[in-house]
Amino acid sequence: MPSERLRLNPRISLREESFGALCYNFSTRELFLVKSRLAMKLAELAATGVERALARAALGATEERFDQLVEALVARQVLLVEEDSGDACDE
Amino acid sequence: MNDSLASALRAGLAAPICLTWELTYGCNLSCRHCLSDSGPKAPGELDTGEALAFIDSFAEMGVFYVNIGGGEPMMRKDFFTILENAVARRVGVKFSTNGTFLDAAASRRLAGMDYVDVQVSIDGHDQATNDEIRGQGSFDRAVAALGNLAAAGFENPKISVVATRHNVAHLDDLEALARRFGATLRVTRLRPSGRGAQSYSDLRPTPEGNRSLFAWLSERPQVLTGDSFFHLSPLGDPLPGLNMCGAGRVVCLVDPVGDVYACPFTIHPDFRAGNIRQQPFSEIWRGSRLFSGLRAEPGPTGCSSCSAYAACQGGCMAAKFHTGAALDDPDPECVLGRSGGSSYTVVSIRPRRAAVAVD
Ligand code: SF4
Ligand code: SF4
Repeated sequence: MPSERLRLNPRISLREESFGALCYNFSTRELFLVKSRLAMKLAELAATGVERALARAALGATEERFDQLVEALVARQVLLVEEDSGDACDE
Repeated sequence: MNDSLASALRAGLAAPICLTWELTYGCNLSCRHCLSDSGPKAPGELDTGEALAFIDSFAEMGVFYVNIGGGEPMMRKDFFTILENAVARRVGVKFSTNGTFLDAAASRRLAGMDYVDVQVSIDGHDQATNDEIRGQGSFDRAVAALGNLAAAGFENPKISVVATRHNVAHLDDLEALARRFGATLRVTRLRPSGRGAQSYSDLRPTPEGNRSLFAWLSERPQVLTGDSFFHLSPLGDPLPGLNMCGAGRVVCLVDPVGDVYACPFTIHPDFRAGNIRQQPFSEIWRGSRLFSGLRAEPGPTGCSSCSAYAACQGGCMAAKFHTGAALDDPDPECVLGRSGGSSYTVVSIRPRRAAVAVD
C-alpha cells in the first residue's frame, strides 16, 4: 500500500504568535487561529512534505489524536494529503 | 471570526493583519471625503529603494498582505515594481484605486499576477451621485476601469463604496453594478478624517440611513464591510468580522513619508507611533508607547453602563477624535442616541504636509 505524505498547502501562510499561530489562506482570503502547539509542529514538519507515519512518530501523538489533528488541518486546507508514489513501483 | 480570535488579537500581534500603506499623497482627483486629504504629492515621499526595503521588513515580520492606497497609488511610476516585489515575497496586495490609470495594459498585467486584489472606488450608483463627491468624470472612468479588468480576465475585483446619506438608498443598484462586472461589493463607513472632517455632517448617513444600511448588510453576508460598522451592532446581530477597533492592535497605517499611525483614519500627531526611516518598522509595531497603550484593556468609559457595550465597544476611536469627543465617549453615530448627536463640532485636521506639484 502506498504511504501518504502530508504537505503544507502552498497557498497557506503561517505566523507564530504568543497564543499559537495565525494562519492565512491566500485562496479563500480567510484568516484563522491555530492554537494547538502540536498542530503548529505538524505544519512545520509538513512544510517540505513529510511521510504520515514519520510525522506521527516525530510528534509522539497517539494514532487517534494524530488522525484528528490531520483531519482538522485538512478540513482547514492547511494540510494536503498526497499519495507517496516515491517507492511504489514494486509490482 | 470567532471570539477567542478577537480576544487574542486585542492584546496585539507579532505583526499587523491589516497593514495599510499609502504610497503617495498625490491624486488626480479631489474627493470631498478623502480620508488622507490627498491631492498634491508630499515632499520626501519614500523613493523606490526605501519602498522595497520596507517590503522586505514587513515580509520578514510575516505580514500576510498589505492594503495599498493613497492618494492614487497608480500615479507612482514604480507602482508595479512595488506590487511585484511584495508578491514575490509572498505578501498579498489589496490596492485601492479610483480607476483612472487602470487601462487595458495595466489590467492585463494585474490579471497575470497572483495574490492581488483590486478595489475600485465608486461612491454612487450613478454618475450624478458619484461625481458630486468624487468629481466630474470619475464615475465613467471607474466604470471603464472595471470594464478593462473584466476584459483582461481579472477575477473578482471589488467595488469599494463609502456609505453616505446620498447612496445608502441605492445599495441595490450598486450591487447590480458590481454584478455586471463580476465584482464583489464592499461598503465601508465614512469617517470624519482628512477632508471627511469638513464633509462629514453633509455626507454621513442619517440615523434612519444607518438603520437601513445595517438591515441591508445583515441580509448580505457576501458584501464586504472592512469590519467598519460594529458601532451599528446594537441594532441586531453583529455583521461578520472582528467587530473591534483594531487601531495599533490589528491595523496600522504607514504614510507616504514613512510615518506610522494607529490606523488609516488617524493621520494626526497624537496617533503617530514613529517613522520607518528612523526606526525599524518591527520595533515601532511591537514597542511603541502609543501602540502599547492602545493594546491595554480600556478602563471604565462613557459607554460602560450601556447594555450594548459588548457588541459596540463604544465605536470608532477616529470618529470620536475627529469630532472633538473624548476617546471614551460614545461614537458620534451611537445608535442609542447617547453621543450628543449633531452637537459635536467637527475638528478639521489636515495631514502634516506641504503641497508640491505632482510629477
Ligand atoms: S479608529 Fe476607527 S477606523 Fe481606525 S481601526 Fe479603530 S474603529 Fe477602525
Ligand atoms: S453608548 Fe457606547 S457602547 Fe452603547 S451603543 Fe452607544 S456608542 Fe455603543
